[in-house]
Amino acid sequence: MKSLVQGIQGMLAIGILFFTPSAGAETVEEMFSRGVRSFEDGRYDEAAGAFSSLMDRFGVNSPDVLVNMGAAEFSLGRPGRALLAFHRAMQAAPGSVAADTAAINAERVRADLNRSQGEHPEKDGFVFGRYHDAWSATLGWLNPEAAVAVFLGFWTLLFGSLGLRRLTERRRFARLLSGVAVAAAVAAILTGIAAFGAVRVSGYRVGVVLDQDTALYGDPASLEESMILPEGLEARILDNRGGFARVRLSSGREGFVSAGSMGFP
Amino acid sequence: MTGSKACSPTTLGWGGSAGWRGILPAPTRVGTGTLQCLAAFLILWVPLSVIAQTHAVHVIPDRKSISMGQQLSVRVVIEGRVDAVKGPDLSDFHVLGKSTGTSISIVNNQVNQKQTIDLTLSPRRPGDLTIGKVRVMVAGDVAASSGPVRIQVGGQGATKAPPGAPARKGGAQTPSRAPGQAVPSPSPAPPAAVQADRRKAFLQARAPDRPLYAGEPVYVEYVLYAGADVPVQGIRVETPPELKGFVVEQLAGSPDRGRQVRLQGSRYEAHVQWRGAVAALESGEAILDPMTVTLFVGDFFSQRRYRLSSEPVRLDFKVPPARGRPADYVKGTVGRFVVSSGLDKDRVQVGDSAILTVEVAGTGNLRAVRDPAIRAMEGLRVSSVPTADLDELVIDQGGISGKRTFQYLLTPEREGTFEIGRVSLPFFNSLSGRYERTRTPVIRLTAVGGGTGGPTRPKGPNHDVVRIISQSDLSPHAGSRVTGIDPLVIMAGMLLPLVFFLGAEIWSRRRDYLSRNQGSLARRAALRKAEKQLSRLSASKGEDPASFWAGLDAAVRGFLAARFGFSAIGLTHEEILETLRGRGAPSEVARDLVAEMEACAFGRFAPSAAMERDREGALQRIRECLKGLDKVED
Repeated sequence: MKSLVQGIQGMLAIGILFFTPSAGAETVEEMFSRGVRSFEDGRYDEAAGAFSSLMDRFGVNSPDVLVNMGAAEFSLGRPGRALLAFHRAMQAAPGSVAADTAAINAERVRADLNRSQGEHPEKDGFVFGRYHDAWSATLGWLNPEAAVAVFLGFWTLLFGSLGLRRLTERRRFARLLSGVAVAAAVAAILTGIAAFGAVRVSGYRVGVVLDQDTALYGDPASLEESMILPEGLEARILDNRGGFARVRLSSGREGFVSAGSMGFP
Repeated sequence: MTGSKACSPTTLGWGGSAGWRGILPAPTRVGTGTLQCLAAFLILWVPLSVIAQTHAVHVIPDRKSISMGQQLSVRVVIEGRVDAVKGPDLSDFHVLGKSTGTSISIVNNQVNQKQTIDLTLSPRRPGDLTIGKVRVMVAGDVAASSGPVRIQVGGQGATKAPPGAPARKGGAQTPSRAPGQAVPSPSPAPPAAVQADRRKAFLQARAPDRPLYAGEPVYVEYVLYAGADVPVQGIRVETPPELKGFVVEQLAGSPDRGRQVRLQGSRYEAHVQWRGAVAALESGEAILDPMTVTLFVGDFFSQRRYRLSSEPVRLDFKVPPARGRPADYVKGTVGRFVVSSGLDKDRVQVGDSAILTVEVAGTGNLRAVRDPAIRAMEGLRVSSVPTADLDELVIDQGGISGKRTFQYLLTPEREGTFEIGRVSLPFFNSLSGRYERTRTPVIRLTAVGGGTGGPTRPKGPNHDVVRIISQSDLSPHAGSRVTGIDPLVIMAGMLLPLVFFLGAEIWSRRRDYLSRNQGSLARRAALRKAEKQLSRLSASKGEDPASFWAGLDAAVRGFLAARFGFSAIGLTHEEILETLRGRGAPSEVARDLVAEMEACAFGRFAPSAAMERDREGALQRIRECLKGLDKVED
């Protein structure tokens, strides 16, 4: 009798295990909605957890999730991770609504970081903004593919007109082709520089400082930091090896940062 | 209080005597290069008939009753162009600061010039004090005059002179001021009178004759006094003062050219050799060490040198007393200051920022003034803005004067009115010898809601700063595109036009070469072409005799035309032989060739079986002849 009761209890337990709906049994869409609701209710840690689960556990690599993940991180007071998420969203789907939203959010995070100077003395003296140097400041707005296409067009026109000029035996036509060649040469030089700059800028790898008071070393073997970087600072990654990232700040200063303190979009 | 007097028309001109030097800038000193250009322009453009001006002078104090230790602001306004200004007599006051300005306006072709002098005065004693008359001179006449202005000085300490005020000394003790000069120059050290008694020229260090405090910038000057009858040719500084133990800020600019002063009834010309502000690092006695100059006296024909040194001057610097020191007093804040504040806008949207500007103006150790602490409050972020470039500090007879500017960014995070309170600055007044405090009015900033104007909903930190995407199909990287450009594509795109150009260039060069060297190329190709024809004839064995021999003859003639440039058609065999010899061909070879040509003629018109059998032999012989002829040099 006793063994019968125990058997029934065991059966019941197995039945409960099989038929009770799991707490985690929700679709990715439901999990996304839960994250949105949590964010709107001000439960940013739950929101961040939901969006993080979507990406890490379920492999959802939607830029929309990245945007929301960045917003949640920022609201939790982690601007570095927020900027990293926005960068990833912009790179994942350039030109999309998500990328535009991420770009706006990133600008607002930077503005907030700049505005909050004074409250956080460790961030004073830094200007938070997109990484830029002379190339990106002047040619960052150019579409590199369009710039290269325009350059190749002028390049073709230059050598095409030069070739045709050699082939033709009609003097007037040759003079016309000479003029075209000169104009095309000037345009090719200018668009060549522009295309070079645009391609160079598009190839920049920009990272974000994730930890407050990250040390910047002039030399990876140095024990004394040359500068202390605040969280949220964006820098160009020149190289990444041996656990250190060689970075260049917008000021032109270069140095080495522990790779663990930098986020790479 | 004010007075004015109509004046006769005057003329435009920038010369003028130096009346009231030191306070009222003479027209020549006020007029900068720009002003002079403007004047020249006006002379050219404005008819003299419309330059007539009315002269007037106004003396406007900010109040007529003050207490001892308080400051009085007086504005002197002079309308019209004047040659000199005399007065006012300010012997009852200390002049703490001055600033001047000039404006020129043209209204209905009427040129109006106005000079403004702002004076900051401190009474020397209680009672009814008088600011003397101000008279403006045009062409030697008094063009306008103000009346004396009476100021009642009373209140606390009315019967007691301020500790900082120097005791009034006899005229023999202090150098008398030039006519109209109202700025009390630093009192001379006691030996000055003695020196004035004995010498025609002497050098003297001068500092304010009042209690001095450590950290307070003090105006110091080294003045060379030369008797009015001493023909000064030049002055050379040999040893400048070292001024050890002081923080020194030397006043830039060239020393004075000399001004007339009267010492003990004698007239002297005073030349300032060094001037600046010094601040003692510590309390106690400090010494203005001697300065040495060489004075050149004489005329064009004879000149003498005199080496003059100043006497060391002892200064006693005190420490501001501990009694009455405010708790928030910052050490070194010695002087006389006024703090003011202003918001660029007193009503902003939530999240927007307003700029609060706090200015500390006055005379004294302005560099010691720290940025005032603005009280942060819930819902209002306060951050300071770097404003060092807005500071305006000048060295003058008050020490260091000017203003420090501090700015703050105020960013409300919620709706409402934020009362920031007053900005307060305690300081030690070195003239009154008391701690004083200057305050701003209460600062208020009103924040209103966003675009709707409704109340803002506090949702948590930074909720409104960033946006989220509420609806998504979670599609991976929708709209993504492959970025980056394949270098191979760029390479191909650059190489193809180059290849086309190079091909066109090669083709064009070949074409040009051929056209330029057509003759020589034809000559070089003559033998090859003839051998081809001979080979073709050799291959066509069944051809009829007339065609064969005619072809053979044509190959020979073609060779001759191409190789030697003459047509053998119409020439006899003898003429061909002569022509070939004339072109340098060996006679034997030429003869053999002509013989073969005759054989060809026989073969065409009188064929024989023997000749038919000898076709190959003829071909071989002609080949040999042509090879021999081809060796002839051009």
